[in-house]
Amino acid sequence: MEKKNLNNEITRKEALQRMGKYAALTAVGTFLILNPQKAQAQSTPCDPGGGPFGSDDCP
Amino acid sequence: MAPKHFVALSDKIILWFEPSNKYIVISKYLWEIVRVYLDSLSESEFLENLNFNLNIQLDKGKVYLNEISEFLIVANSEVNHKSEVIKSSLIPEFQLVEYYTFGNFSIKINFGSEQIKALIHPQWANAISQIKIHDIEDFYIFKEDDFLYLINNKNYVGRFPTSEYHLLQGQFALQLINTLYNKIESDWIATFHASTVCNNQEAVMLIGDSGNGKSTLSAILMAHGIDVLADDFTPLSADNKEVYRFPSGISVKTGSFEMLKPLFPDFDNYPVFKSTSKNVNVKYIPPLKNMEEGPSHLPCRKIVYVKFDKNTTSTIQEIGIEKILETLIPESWISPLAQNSKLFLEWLKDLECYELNYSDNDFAVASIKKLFNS
Repeated sequence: MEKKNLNNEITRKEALQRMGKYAALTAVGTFLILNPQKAQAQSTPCDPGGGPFGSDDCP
Repeated sequence: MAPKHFVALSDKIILWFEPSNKYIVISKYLWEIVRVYLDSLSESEFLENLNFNLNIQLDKGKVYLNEISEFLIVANSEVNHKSEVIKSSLIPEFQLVEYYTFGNFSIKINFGSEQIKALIHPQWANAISQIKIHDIEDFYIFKEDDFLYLINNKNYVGRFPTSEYHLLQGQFALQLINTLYNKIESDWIATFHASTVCNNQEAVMLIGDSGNGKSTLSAILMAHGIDVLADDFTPLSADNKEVYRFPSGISVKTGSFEMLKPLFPDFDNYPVFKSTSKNVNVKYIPPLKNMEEGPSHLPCRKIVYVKFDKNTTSTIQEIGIEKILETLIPESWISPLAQNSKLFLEWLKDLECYELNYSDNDFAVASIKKLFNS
């Protein structure tokens, strides 16, 4: 059970990191970490409905 | 390990780390502790200084020591900037060629297929030109294997995995503003995922999470005579810290068609395109002013986080910069160059930040108009 929770937490953290922001809550205080995009982009990266080249395009 | 730049904004400190291009927001108190860490030559000196300067006991100090050193490792983790070296791909024969005009500039785009054209053309359809001009900026966009290629005047710009077509769209947008304003990538502080409206003196930037209605609000504002400087892609230049016109059509999705139709007499005549996401149709509303008619760049000192909610009471209030940064930074490209990052932090210092929650369009229009006069 504990292991499962840990896995969930990691997935959540990874998801937040992918979003480009996450708050590291520590005893010393909160670090709000913000990552800009690495390249110029437009439109939604990939909607759940799939990209223009077929549904397999969505990661 | 220290941040290359930092700036104090109200009660927060924003740090910028060059190796990772990360922005980190912390409290002033935490910054004091981090500074003690950075100024200490050894772990024991850090613990002593914490105790002496901030009256922090040894056991707590040890926890802080671990946490700060871990945080600094993350903040200084290198980003892989390696640029791909590609053997020049053969430019295929192009059947689909379109010309677009923006004020005094024209470009020619050679599309590899209808599918490729659908990625770029719809938002520029308003600028299409029937005149075939020679010796102009020439773009080639095509798909080969599982990559989308972008070539500008026979120079290879980049290739993008097909699934990451939004990067091709973004790179094309960058190439276009470079062409229009005679700049290169390092001349830009950022290209923000934001819409921007303006009068003749200043610009106001609208940001919000996806689906919050930035573009719809831009269209509503335009219907009320407000000039939309940029929709969804707002470039900020390094030489004057001003935002620049991005002369695309304003994209509006199916859900807003009914509400927008009475505001635009020609609404039914704007073609419907299938969005790059499968289930949504979009229309692109031509901008009110073209490149020659409106200002091409303006200072922007006001930024509004917008959120439409049909069940909310409409309000506008001044907010702290933290909420703005949380949305703005992760959604935008910000130049990783140290001099540009410094300019970005300087630009932030002068910003007034607002949050607009609205269900009533007239309230939203009046609120933005009021910002221009304040």
